[in-house]
Amino acid sequence: MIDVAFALLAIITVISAILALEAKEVVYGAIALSLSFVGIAGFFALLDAVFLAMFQLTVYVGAIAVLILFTVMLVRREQWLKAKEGVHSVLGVLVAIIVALGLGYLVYASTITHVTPSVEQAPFTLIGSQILSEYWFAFITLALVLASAVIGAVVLAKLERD
Amino acid sequence: MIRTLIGFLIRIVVLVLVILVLGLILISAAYYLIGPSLPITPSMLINPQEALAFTFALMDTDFFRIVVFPGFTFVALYAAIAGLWERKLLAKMQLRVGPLYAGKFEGILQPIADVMKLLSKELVIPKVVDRFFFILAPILTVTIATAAVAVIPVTERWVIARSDVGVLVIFAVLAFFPLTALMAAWSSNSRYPMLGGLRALHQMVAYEIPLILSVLTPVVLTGSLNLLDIVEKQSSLWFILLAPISALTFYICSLAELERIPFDLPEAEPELVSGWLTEYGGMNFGLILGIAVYIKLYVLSALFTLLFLGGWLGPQPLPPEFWFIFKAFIVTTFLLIPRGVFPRLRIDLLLKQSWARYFILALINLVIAAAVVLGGFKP
Amino acid sequence: MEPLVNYLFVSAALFAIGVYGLVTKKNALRMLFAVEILINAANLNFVAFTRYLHPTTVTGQSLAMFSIALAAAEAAVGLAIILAVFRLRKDVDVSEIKGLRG
Repeated sequence: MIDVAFALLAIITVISAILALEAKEVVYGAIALSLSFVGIAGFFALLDAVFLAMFQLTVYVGAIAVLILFTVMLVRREQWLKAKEGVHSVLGVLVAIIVALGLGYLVYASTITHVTPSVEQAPFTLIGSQILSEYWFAFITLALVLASAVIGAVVLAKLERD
Repeated sequence: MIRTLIGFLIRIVVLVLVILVLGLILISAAYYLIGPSLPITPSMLINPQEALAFTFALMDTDFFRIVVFPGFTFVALYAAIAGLWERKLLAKMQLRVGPLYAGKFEGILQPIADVMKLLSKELVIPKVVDRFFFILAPILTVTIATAAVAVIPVTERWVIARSDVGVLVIFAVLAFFPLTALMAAWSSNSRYPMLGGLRALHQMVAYEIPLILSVLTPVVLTGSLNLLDIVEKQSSLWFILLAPISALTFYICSLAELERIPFDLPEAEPELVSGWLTEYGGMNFGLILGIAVYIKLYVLSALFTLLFLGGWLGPQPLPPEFWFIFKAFIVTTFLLIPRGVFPRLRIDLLLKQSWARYFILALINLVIAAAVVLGGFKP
Repeated sequence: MEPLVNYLFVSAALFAIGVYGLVTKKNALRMLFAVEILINAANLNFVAFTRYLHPTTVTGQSLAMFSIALAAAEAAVGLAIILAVFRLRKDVDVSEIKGLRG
C-alpha cells in the first residue's frame, strides 16, 4: 500500500534527478538538482527525521545549490556548449539499469521485505550527544576537513587572480 | 494593454469574478475540512448562542489559523500597514508629509491605491528573458516567505505548526532566498540585473552566518529549538538583557537580509537602475518588492520579539496577542528607521564587515552564553 | 507507514541515475551533479535503515549529517577546481583535459 505523499515525492525526486543530468542547459540542470534535494529532504521528513530534513535544506539547497548555480552563472554560456555529450550513452543506460536491477534483486532476496512501522522515535537531541560523545573523532576530523576546504578554495581563488 | 477606463473596469470585474470563483472553491474545501466536526444547522440563524459557539469552535481549527489569524490575512494586513507606516515614518523624518491624499485621514488607504495601481499595469515580459524562471522567481519568493510564517507563534494558542525544530525551519527558509534572487537575476538576461543579483547573493549568503549564530544564543540559553519553549523561558528575564550583543547582531543581519539601507546595494537606485529587479514590472514587481519583502520583514521582526523581547509575555490586563503585535511593530519600526538615516555601504566593505565584525560578535556572545549555561545558570 | 523496501527502491533508483551520470557525461559540472545525487541516495539509505531497524537510536541520522557536511566541502573544492581549470583552458570537457597523460 503506497502513501500518496511518498509516491509524489519519489516521482519528483527521481524525475528531477534525471532532468538534472539531461537538461539542455546546465542552469536548468542545477535548478532541477536543487528540486531533487528538496525531494530528499521531504523523504527525511517522512522518516521522522525532521532535524535532518531542515539540515539538508539549509546545507544542500542553501549552500551547495547556490554554489553550483553561482559557478554555472559566472561563466558565459557559449563556452559550455563546447562540451558535447559522450557517445557512450547506450552503454551508460545499460550500466545504470544493471545497477538498479542488481540492487533491487539484492533487496528482494533478503529478508527485509517485512514492514516494521514502529511508533517509537528517537528525539533529535540524541544526534548531538552522539556526535559529541561516540563520534567525537569524526567530528574533529570533519572540522579539520572543512577548514582545509575553505583554505584550499581561498588559495585557488587567489592563484587565479595573480 | 489597458487604454481606456472601460478596459480598466473590465479588468477589475474579471479579477473580482476570479476571486469569487476561487473563493467558492476554497469555501467548499473548508467546509469539507471542517464540516463533519462542526455542523452548521439552520437554527443558528435564530439562536445567537449556537452561532457564537460555532464561531469559537471554528477559530480553533487549522483552517482558521492558516487563512486568518497568524497566517495569511494577518500577515498581508501587517505587510500593508508596514508599507504605509514606512512611507509616513520616512516622510516625517525627512520633514515631509508622506502619502496624504488616499483616504480621509492622512492617506490611510494608500496601500489599496498602490495595489490597484500595480494590478492595472501591464505585465511586461521582455523577449530575451527565460520565461519559465522569470515568472517562477517572484512566485517562489512569496511562497517561501510565507512558509516561514507557519512556525511563528503569536501566542501559545495561535500557531499553525507546532514544531520541535521551529528555529531550524526559519534557517532553512532563509537559505532559500539567495536561490530565488539568483533565479530572478539570471533569467532577466541583462547586465544590471545580473550585477545586482550577484551582489544580492553575496550579501545574503554572507549575512546568513552571523544571523544563524546570533539566533543560536537564545537557543543555547533555553536548551530547545522550539519557539514556544524559548518564549516560555523568558518569563523571568528577557533574553535581550542576557544577550544584548546577539540582539544587536540579529538586528543588523536582518537589515542585511531584507536588503534595506544601509545594505541596499543590490537595489541601489542611482547605481544599478533597480538592481536585480530591473526587468520586473507591474504585478511582478508588486509581488517581489511589495509582498515578499514585507512578509520577510514580519517574519524577522516576529523572530526578534520571540527570541529576545519575550514574545507575548506582558502585563495582564491586555491580551498576549496585543503584546506580541505591539512588540513586533516596535521592532519593525526600528527596522524601517535606518532607511532615512544612514548612507549606503559599498559592497566590499559590506562583505568585509560581515565576516570581520558581525561574525565575531555573534560568536562572542554565543560562547559567553554557552559558558554561562554550562556554569549552571538556568533561566 | 511505508514498507522499508520502498525507500530502498527509491534509493537504488537514485543511485543508478548517479552512476549513469558519472559514466556517460563528459561535462565536468554534470559529473558533479551525478556525484551529489549518489551522496543523496546513500544518505536516504542510511536514514531509512536506522528508522526501521533501530528506531530508538539516531546513528544513521548522525552519519547522514556528517555525509552532508562532507558533501558540502567536496562540492566547494570541486567547483573551485572546475573554475580554475575552466579559466586556464576555456573548456570543461573532461576528455580534453589530458595534459598529464604520459
